[in-house]
Amino acid sequence: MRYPDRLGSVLAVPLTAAFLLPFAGLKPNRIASAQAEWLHDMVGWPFAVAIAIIAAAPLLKGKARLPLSAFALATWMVVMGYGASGLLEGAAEYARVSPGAGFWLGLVSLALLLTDTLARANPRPLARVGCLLAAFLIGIMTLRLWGDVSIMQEYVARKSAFWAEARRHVGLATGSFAAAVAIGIPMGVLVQRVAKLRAPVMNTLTAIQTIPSIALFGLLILPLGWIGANVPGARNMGIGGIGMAPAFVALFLYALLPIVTNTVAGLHGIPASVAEAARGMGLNPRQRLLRVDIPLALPVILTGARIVLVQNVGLATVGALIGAGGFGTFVFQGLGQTASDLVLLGALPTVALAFAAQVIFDAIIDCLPGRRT
Amino acid sequence: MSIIKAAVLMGLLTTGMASGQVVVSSKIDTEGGVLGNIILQMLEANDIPVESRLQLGGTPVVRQALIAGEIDVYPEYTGNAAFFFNRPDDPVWKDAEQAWQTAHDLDLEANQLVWLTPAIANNTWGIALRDDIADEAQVGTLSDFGKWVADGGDVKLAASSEFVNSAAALPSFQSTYGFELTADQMVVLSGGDTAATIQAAATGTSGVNAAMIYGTDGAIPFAGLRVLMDDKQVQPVYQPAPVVRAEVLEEYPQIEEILSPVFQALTLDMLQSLNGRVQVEGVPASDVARAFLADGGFVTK
Amino acid sequence: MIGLHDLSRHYGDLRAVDDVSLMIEAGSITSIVGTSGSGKSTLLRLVNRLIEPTSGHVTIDGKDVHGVPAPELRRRIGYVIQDHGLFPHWTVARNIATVPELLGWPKARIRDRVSELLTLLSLDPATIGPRFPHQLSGGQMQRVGVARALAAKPELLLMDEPFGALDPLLRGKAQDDLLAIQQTLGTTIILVTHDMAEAIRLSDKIAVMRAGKVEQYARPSEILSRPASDFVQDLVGEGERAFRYLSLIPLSQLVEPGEASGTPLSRNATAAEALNAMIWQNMEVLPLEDGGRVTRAALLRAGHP
Repeated sequence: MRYPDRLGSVLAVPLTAAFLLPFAGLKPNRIASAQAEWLHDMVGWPFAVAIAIIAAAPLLKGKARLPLSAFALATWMVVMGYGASGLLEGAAEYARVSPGAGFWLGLVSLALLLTDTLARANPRPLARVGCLLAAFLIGIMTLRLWGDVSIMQEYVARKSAFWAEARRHVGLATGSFAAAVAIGIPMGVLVQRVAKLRAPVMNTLTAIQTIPSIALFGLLILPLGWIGANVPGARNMGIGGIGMAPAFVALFLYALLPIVTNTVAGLHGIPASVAEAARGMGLNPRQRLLRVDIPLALPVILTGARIVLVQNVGLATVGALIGAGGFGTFVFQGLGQTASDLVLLGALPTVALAFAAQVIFDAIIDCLPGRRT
Repeated sequence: MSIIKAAVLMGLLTTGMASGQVVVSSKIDTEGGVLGNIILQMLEANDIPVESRLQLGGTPVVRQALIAGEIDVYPEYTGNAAFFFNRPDDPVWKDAEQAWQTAHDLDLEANQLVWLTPAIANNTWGIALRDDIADEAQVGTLSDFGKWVADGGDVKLAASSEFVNSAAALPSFQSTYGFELTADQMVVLSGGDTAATIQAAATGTSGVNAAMIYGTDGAIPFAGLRVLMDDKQVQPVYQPAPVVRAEVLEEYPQIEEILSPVFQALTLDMLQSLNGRVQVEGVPASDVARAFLADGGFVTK
Repeated sequence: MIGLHDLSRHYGDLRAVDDVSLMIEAGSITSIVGTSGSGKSTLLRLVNRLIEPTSGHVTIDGKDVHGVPAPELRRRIGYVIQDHGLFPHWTVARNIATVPELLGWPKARIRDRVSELLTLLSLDPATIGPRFPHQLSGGQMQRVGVARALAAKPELLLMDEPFGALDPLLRGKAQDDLLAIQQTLGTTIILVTHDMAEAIRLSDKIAVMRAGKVEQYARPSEILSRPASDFVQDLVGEGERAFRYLSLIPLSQLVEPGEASGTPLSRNATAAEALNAMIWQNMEVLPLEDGGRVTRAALLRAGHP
């Protein structure tokens, strides 16, 4: 362990600020504004200094940075949990404790340090997913100590609803993603082959991108409602003007453009000599597509797919406005009730989900055989 | 012969049963959660098959869904009919009974939607004053308030800029109740968030002791505020009532009598307190609804 | 026997190939030579139907190539291009196995064939087989391209400027390899090139093309000694004519009995190589490895057609 490197020096700034800003906020009730609480008031000076040392240790460059930053992050979370319990002792009946600016700043800084250290080790795809899993497990374990923090109290009050909405959110995001891939890739192949189609298709898809999501939901209510009412069996499948169906269709439409664009770009990037050789050797069009073109275009296509997946996880939040459920339900209920912790209960899992989707998908891309560019 | 009659009767009954569940919905705000759950649990307790699509979205989405038949019933405010039928300046909306009747008649004819018995609570724009000051100055209605301010009462009102500037809001109150607030008697907030105005009055920030509110805001009882009665009916009336599709009501006519006593028990104070438990205490809306129905004897425990 | 009958390919007003008729003997190496835009690549691609003719037809062993679906036809014809077009996402072994896999060969047979071809082209199957194209040198890639074309034992091999991307040293070696392979396998080869020297060196017959037409179709010696037009003559060039001509004559044709001193030459060496050696060593006569000798005078006489 020697000296802080560039990253350590840079992160020292927000980390210091984290101690100078309120660590938590105590509010007399769920929707009142919070009174600032500082770390040294919450846990006492000796502990505060100890925590400062633990948080500062990973700033120094050295082999121990990985375990040190992981330990610091876990400690940070645990301290919040215990500190919250302390604040609630003797407080008003409906009082709530929320993490403050200091906590968030520290969390983000330590998380950056941890992820950077992990990234530098350049782990193999499977190892990356393993790290993600480990991080989630450790996170869940520390959350068990957050019983007195407002977000967890919101969670406990609606546990089954939370997991039901989680399932809906994942289903909506991944389902529309899968549909977009299944239709977008063939569409891209077609557009790449037939030059005349390119402009109209791309223009239409681009135009769709510019429609705000809520407006698109509104546009879909009538046609989907009609289908739900008049097509036999549609209602049973859940197709209707409100709910999952319009959100699914909207997310699917938004996802098409990146997939089609990347498919076209990927196919376009195939060297002419490869295409010529494939044809000249006697592969028929289907064989060329499946054995040569798509495998070679795959990295570009998958990059587009990854963008779409992460986009959909975030966009699915808006689906709550049309009754599709998902984490957005908590976001909008929280907004309506001016309860910021409820909003966080919806927003934070969405962010975590998006991050996890990105890591897993990247790992899949890197596992593909053959080209390592 | 009797076998055929029985078969026909069976057929009629089963077609009735086969037509499915009543889809109960509501808006995504706090009160929507409370009222929606009340409707849902009452119907369920009375053996009507229900499907929950509560907290669906904002007014346009839920209204559209009802008209399209995607949902079957949801609580709507009588005053909103002014906008549905594009008659915002009609004086009928200022009288509770007339407002309800107009909404009922218009919607039945145009959309085959039936407005059922409304709650007494009036969730409209208003002014709330701190309890201690209201007691001391003996102010209970907006008429009292107007006189008190005109006589030099020490008031500071927290309100949104829309409330302050919109002709239908503060200017209307001022002209009807004979008072005028100067610039330093007001604290103007940018958003329309009544939680912020209530909070300001409760903690006395910047000397605020009065707040713009909606009648049934859940934070009011916790903030030590009192809603001042709009005795001269300046604001349109917004009473929540279940609105149900005529087709569904025909199939389950008992819905009217099941919900009527429940909604009549929803006074302003009661609804405030229910909203407050959800918003301020953080109790889930379904639990709050359940307790209300049990305590009121509407549902056997 | 490959037959091109009244073959034409027009693009609007442009006659890329204009009424070409050629008969190519089985087992021979034929070069199509011309400047850019002469239509030589187009002609080549009319044979394996990468381009369809506007009029005329192509026959292989008497059967019209149009009678068979194009992909099926192409699997029976080897195709090598200048940029080789190796599939970057497949190993060398899998690249070579492309057509045999398409034809449904059993795995063991494919494996053996891949090894066989790599060895034939002086590449070590154990080290080169598992590599990816981007890990190979230019020369190695070119050889893999040829191996891939020969994998399914085609009777016809089409090559479009196959050695164009190689440096002169590698090019010479590659040409030697081609001659050796052709001798071993007996494949009919049609080769497109703009390099007359290469054509003369490799071919049994040369077709000279200009503006879509074949100006001359003859043995190299005839192209050199009796060019059909000024264009053909220009293409050959006057500068190296005699030496090119001599390079077509093996010493076995000029040997006379007798002895001589100096480094012996091989019977299979060309007259050009012998003359080069004699000038360099300042000798007038040189012995041959298996006996006999060749004189400078004989060489000089032979250089005049």
